[in-house]
Amino acid sequence: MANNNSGSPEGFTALGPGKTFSVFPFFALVFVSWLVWIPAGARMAGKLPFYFPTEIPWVGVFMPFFFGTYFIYRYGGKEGLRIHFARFIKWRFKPFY
Amino acid sequence: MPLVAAATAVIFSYAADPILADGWARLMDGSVMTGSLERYNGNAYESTRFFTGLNAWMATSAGAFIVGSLLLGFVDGGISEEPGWRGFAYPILQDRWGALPAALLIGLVWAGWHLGPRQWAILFGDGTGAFFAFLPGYAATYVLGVTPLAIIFAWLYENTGGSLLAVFLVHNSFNQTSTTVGFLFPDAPVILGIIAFLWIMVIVILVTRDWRAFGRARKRRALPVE
Repeated sequence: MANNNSGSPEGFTALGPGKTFSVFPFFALVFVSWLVWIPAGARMAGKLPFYFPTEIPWVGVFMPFFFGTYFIYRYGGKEGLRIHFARFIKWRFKPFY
Repeated sequence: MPLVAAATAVIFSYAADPILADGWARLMDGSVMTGSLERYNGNAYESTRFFTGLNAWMATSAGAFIVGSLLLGFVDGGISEEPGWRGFAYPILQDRWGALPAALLIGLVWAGWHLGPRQWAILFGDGTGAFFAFLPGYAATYVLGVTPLAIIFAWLYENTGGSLLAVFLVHNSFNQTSTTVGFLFPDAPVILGIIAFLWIMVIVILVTRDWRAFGRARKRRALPVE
């Protein structure tokens, strides 16, 4: 289960000793966005010979969300997802710094 | 404090310029809203229904425009990006290399990812010569603009105890502000101003907010043990 590191800010939890995780698969996979942005560019240039709805390129914007969440689930399981989504609504912070 | 200092520096840099007065006039006469809607409509051509419907609703009143813009900005850029860059990648790299190197690396990758449809439109529309002439400046603009954002957002993430909500809000705020400033000052070098503003913020953060602590590795893990 999750355990907090001493001295860590609230909300950060430990992976445990000896565990390392790579972010490079994430860095590579977010570029899946380009698979929809390249045809979107062709559409903008008027060179795409078929209908290409605006909603499709917008999906590309969400690749960091999708793959970030996927890898958190893969590495951290359901507890990782719980902590991850709790940060979406973590509203207790100072208004000024 | 960093925001106030950076904003003050930028405002002083524009204060003596009549462009500033023209910008405020555009804000008051509604041309910012009109310009934004035209851009939204331009982006939404060939929409199935969602964007055309949303844009039509946003055009009904200033209140609908503001609400729609804020919601779109919160989702597009905030929720769509930050769970990956700050929520997943940053804590792992921060744990390994420290906050500043982690933020810099993410900034570079994030900038590369941001090179969206526009460059491809030039490739398909104008050919490879135009593409390779356009790409270096376009990429440099993104690297110079996105890298300081990665540092600022990492600093924010650290100082809010890992709140993605705070980063969503500031990401949205940046997107809305930079878009609005672009419409306010169409004849000014807005992109250069924004990049300068961001780097001033980074310098102020690093100088006044314990850059040593921010820069060095602190053992802090992002994910739970199973």
